[in-house]
Amino acid sequence: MEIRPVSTEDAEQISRIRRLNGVREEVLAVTSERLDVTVDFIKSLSDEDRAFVAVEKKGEIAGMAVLIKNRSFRRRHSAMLAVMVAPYYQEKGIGTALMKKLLDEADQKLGLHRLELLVLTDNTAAINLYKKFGFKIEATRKNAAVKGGRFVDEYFMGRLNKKGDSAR
Amino acid sequence: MIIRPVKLEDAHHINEISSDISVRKSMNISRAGFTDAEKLIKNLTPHDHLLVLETEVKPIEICGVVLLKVDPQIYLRRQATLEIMMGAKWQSQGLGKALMMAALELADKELMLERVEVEIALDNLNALKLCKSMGFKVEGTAKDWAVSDDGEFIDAYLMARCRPRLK
Repeated sequence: MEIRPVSTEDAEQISRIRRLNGVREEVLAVTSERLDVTVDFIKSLSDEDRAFVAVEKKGEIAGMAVLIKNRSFRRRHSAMLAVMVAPYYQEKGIGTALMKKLLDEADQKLGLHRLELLVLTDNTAAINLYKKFGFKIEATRKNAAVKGGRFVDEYFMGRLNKKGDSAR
Repeated sequence: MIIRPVKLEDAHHINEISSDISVRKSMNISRAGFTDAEKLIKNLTPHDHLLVLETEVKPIEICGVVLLKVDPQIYLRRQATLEIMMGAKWQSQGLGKALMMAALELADKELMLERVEVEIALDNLNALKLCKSMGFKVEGTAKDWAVSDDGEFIDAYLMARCRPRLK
């Protein structure tokens, strides 16, 4: 398995993973989501954002991790992150490897003070992964997502850079 | 007092209010929008709802504004963030409450939103009280959420109000 920055040629595979049952609900996608949504997303990434894919043999994408810096003038010290792993590649350490890569970038290269993420409250595997990397549940967002025709709750998790602020 | 949709001519009045109050005192403490009202007004999309409250008798003056921003992402279109800002001399008279009520009625009865969110600094007790009285609940506290006017990190209450279930 190799971790490398995402490119627009990965869009097709990423888009397919986003629409899978079990992934779609977590990544806020819908079954009708067209390829352009993913292509536009990849193109929209700025120098301050990061996106990596975990690639298996024969170039198959197993997972993706993104870090989007908050643009608002008062919140530039922070970024939102998201990690997804294709169902057939879960529980193989891919999420951990992607998180490690993303946090290295956030802490060392971007010098971010605060990271945050959203996760559905019943996604225990993802919550445990995030806790392992120092994220704490800061808020429970009622009815913030939808799964199978029902509103479901979402956790908002945050993590402060232990090494202090290298940049604001 | 009347509450009406914003006009481009309101921009400089809104900037005046914005420069007059501190970020700690404002609801939605990141408050990116109100720092340049002209740009904000020009860039409003059909997902953004900006109302102003103004006096009815001359001299006509804008007392406060409320911005309800519906998330444009298709999956999140049931959610909005609310930012409200009242001029210093118009505070503590129930005007903020009236303005917020107008935005929440829009959210509940016209836009059919499920969630409206606000962020407030932990020491902004008046805002906390107002939000609680309007049915917002504290969902949690985010550490070092924003940078204040003095350049220090401030924590925030993350609050939300879910759509009241009508009988």
